[in-house]
Amino acid sequence: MRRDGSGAGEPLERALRQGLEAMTSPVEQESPPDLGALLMLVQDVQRAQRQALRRDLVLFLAVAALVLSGGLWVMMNFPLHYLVAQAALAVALAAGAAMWRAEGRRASHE
Amino acid sequence: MDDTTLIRQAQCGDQVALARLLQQHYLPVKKYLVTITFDRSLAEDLTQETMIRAIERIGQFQGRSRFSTWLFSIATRQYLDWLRRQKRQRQAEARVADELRLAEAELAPEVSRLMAQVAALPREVALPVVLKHYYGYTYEEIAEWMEIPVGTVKSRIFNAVRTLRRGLGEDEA
Repeated sequence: MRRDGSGAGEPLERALRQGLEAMTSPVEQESPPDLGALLMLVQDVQRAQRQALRRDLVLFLAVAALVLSGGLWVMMNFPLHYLVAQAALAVALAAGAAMWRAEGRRASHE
Repeated sequence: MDDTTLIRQAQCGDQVALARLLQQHYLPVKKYLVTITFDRSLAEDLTQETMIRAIERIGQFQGRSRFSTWLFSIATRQYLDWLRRQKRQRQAEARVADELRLAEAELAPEVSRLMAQVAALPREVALPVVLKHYYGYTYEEIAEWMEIPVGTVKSRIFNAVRTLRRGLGEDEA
């Protein structure tokens, strides 16, 4: 069973192979599910995936529209606050990126 | 039809090709799961789960490993998730004991003793032992599948093998 094709030379590996093969021998007698059942499974899973994707896309667009309209409203009504918030966000993102890079460098040295 | 052609067709949206591909690999995956879980009914459930994940992720298969290896990695993660999610360690151990009793009749006493020892190991220790010493996967591959450091895999296998060899009456060489 070893995928490198080498025989299990050691007693431990020989015994392990014998034991596991005895356990899996009933599976050898089984037949795989028929193609129709698997095809139905494929169709069901892919349908569910498409539905989930559509739902996520709608959710994403709704949230994006909300964030954009909120941002626009703040920009029109409170331009100074908007600029301060933008600057704070840029600083926070830069600091986060720097910390993440430093963390990665430290992990690669360890 | 060979795997490469079926994979290409499946990735282009051919559902029959994907079903055929899964049919070809169904029993090898189930057999693999029996060897790592020691539990045939759990292996059956996890094979189903593995097939579902494979359908969802077929587009992500890049051909860097064999298709069967890719499926085994999904199956391993399903099993680890099952252990983590359900915390059914004790239940799993009871089912493993049943499974071993069924297989015991066909086994030599030393093999039977070894299997009982492997089954008595914590599941996250037995898994790398089987992957390394039965399937011949590398430490790096096992670490990647189990999402743990390579050093942890090596020490788990080293300690487990030492215990198992002692049980088999081998010298610790």
